This record gives sequence, C-alpha cells and structure tokens, in this order.
Amino acid sequence: MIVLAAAKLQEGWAYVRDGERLILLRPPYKVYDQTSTDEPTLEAAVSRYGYQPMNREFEDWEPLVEFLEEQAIKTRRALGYPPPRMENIRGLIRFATKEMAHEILARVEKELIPGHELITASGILADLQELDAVKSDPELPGRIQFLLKQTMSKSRISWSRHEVPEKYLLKSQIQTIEFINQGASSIQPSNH
Amino acid sequence: MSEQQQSELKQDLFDLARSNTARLDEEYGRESAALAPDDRRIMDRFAATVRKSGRIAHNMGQLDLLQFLKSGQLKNCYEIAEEQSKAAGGPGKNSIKKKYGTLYHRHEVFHGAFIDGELFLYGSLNIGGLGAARFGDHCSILNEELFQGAYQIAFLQSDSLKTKHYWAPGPTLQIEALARELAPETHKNKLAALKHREEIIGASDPRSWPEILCRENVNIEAIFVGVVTPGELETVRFPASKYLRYAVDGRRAALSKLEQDMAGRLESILSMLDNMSIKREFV
Repeated sequence: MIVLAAAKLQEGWAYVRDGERLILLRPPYKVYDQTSTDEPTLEAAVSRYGYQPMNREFEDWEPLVEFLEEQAIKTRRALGYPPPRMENIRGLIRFATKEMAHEILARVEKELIPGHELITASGILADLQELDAVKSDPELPGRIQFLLKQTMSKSRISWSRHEVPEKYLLKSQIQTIEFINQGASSIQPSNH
Repeated sequence: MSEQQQSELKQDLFDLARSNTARLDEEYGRESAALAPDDRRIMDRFAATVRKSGRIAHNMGQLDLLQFLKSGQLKNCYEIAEEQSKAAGGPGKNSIKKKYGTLYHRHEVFHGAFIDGELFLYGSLNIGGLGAARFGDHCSILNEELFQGAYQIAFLQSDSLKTKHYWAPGPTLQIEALARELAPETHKNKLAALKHREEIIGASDPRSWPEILCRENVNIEAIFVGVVTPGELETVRFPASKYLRYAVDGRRAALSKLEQDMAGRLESILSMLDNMSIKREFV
C-alpha cells in the first residue's frame, strides 16, 4: 500500500509515502522520475508552493499514476486550458537553440531514421532548416542536408520495397513523398 | 496576548540580515586567512562570481509560470493555494489547514515571527542551472535591478523549514540561530562562500559552482517582499531533456495525454516569453 501525501495536481507532481520512504514522483513517472525526499520538503511544498494535502491510499503505483494523470488533465481544463492542438506541439521546434538543434538532429540520426520513422524525421528536418539559429550555424545546415539525403534514400527503398498504391497513403504521407522528391533536386552536395 | 502586543514582538527579517554584515565580514576574513594562498584565491573567485552573477531564482511548475505570465504578477503561497484548491474542486484553504494543520505549522510560525511575513516570497540564490527544482522545474531568474529597487531581500544560509537548528520543539523558531545565517544583498557572496568553501576548494572546475550553490535539494534561500511582474524576469530556464522529449516525441505520438498537454503549454509559454522579449534557456 502506498499513500499519496500531497500533490500539485495540475502538474502531476506528487509526494508519496512508500513504507518509511517519502518520494517525490513526477511525469513521465519512470523510475528515474522518483526522488527520495524528506518531511520538511513536503511541508514547504504544501505550505509555500501550493501542493494540496491528500492522504489517499493506493494499492500500487499504476493506479496512482493513472489518478495523477487524470487529475492533472482535469485540473488543467478547470483552470481554463483546453487540449493543445497538434500544431502547438509541432511548433516547439521553432524555439530550438543551436545546442538543441544539434541534440534534435542526433535523435533524428540515431532513432528516427534507423527506425524508419521517415515522415517524422523529414518533417523535423524541414522545420529545423527554416530556423535563423540553424541558418547562422556553420555546421547545422550541412548536417540537415546530409540527414535529409539519408531520409530520402531510405524512403525510396521503403516505398519501392512495399510498392504501396497511392490510394492507401495518407495525405500527409503523400505530401512527405512530394517534399522528399522536391528536396532531392534542390539539395546541394554536402561535405558528409 | 493581544494582536497589537503580538505585532510589536515581531522582528524585521531584513533588519536582522543587515545587522549580520559585520559578523559575516569577520568570519570571511578569518576563514580566508586560514587557507593556503591557492585555496584563498579560489574562495575569493567564487565569492566574486556570486557577487556579480548571483540572482534570485524562483522555481515553479509549468502552469504556475503560465499563470504568472498571463496574470502579470507573481502570487504568494496563500494566493496559489486558494486558487488551486478551487480549481481542483476541493475544500477551501481554511478547511484544508484544519485537517492537515501540522503541514502548515512551522510555515505559519515562521511568517508570524516577522513583520510582513505573510507577504514573503521565496526563491534561491542562483548563478546558473535549474535551481531548486524540487518545487518545480521551470526556473525564473529575476533581474539584477530588483536588488536596487524597492524590494526587501534577505538570504538565509539554508532552507528555513528544513534546517534543524533553526527550530526547537513546539515548533519554536530559534531566531538567534537563524539571524547568524542571514545576509543582505551586499553580503550574499560571503554567505555563499562560507557555506560552500570546502566543496568549491575541492572542485577543480568552476563550471560545477552553479550546481554546488543551488541544486534540487540544496540552496541558499532568498526571502523577499515586493511586486514581481514578468518585467522583472531576466531569463527563464527549462529542462533541456523535457524540451527535447516534447519537441521530438510529441511528433511521434509517443507522449502520454498529460505530456502532450505539457508539450502544448510549453509552446505557449515560449511564445509568450518571445513576445515579452524575455530570454529563455534550455539547461
């Protein structure tokens, strides 16, 4: 049995008692999102930072996490925040600094392209190459071109292998293929 | 005891901080003189860095930050608690306090001991990084002009609720013990250097200093009174790992519903900061 001692419901952050341990639990609720903490920190969280005392028992971690996620969404709506639109989430890329752009490209290179998530990869690359922070960097434009080429090459193999008729493709997938094909003629050779 | 008598017994926290400068100067001089020349140089350099770059950081959750930017004023703990309790459809502040009194007790004793205690805002002394993220991982850095303005500011060596020697059973606040560890803005650097002298001398790389001064569970508490608007923000720091996760995984449908919501709100916050010409950093 674990006890939810207090929570910042709108954030999904929670102080949880598990036997003798007091734990601060935060989204996305992985093991590394659990930090051991102490009673005075719980006191400060409640009395100074707006955490709500709860004292609610849960059989296990899973129902607790479900409760926290559900309450966070509910509280956010009650505070007047509607569900975000996909374009908001996609728009996050435009705030990338040079350092973040490098990190994003590393994930595209190591995860998305090898995992054949080519539509996502090409969308991210297309958005990144429009950024001033990227254009003014000596390395980033070349790296993006290199990754776009990899994406195109994998896409061609992928499409030709599966020979999926166009009628089975989503509109966004067709747009991506068009984007990739256009990109092929406009992309200059890079140093990679 | 009448309310007037209680009020007369209250102390001025900021006066106590100002009264502690001679003691801090003396202790800093003594400790510094006892060090080897190389170590003394490190301690002086750390103090100079804190003097120049030390700011008040206020950590908060995502929606607290968004509400702050929208409403135009930083709310104190009482206002936040009331607002969130209502939004969650729970009971009001007073009935919560009645049920969970012990969680509020020391905080109320602390506020009650000082003039204008109920107006106190809390932060941490910060020279970089995400700050005391245990209360929220969005770290707002207040600008330097705050120190020259009408604000009352005191720095306390350790967390006021957490530090055992500030408290006796009751709970009773040990004001004399606390007063010895207070500093006004002019002496924040000496307070910090005295607290962390062993760690900074032991650390070979000054890049570790921000983490030594202020991290998830360790901080020099900044207590201040004044109206804080978004205009007083120098920069807002976000966890880079979260930004990356939201920016990339948000496009892969790999986020939970809550994280999708957080990703969308993050975009709103970043847009607002840009519109307000407030700097942002991912760390």
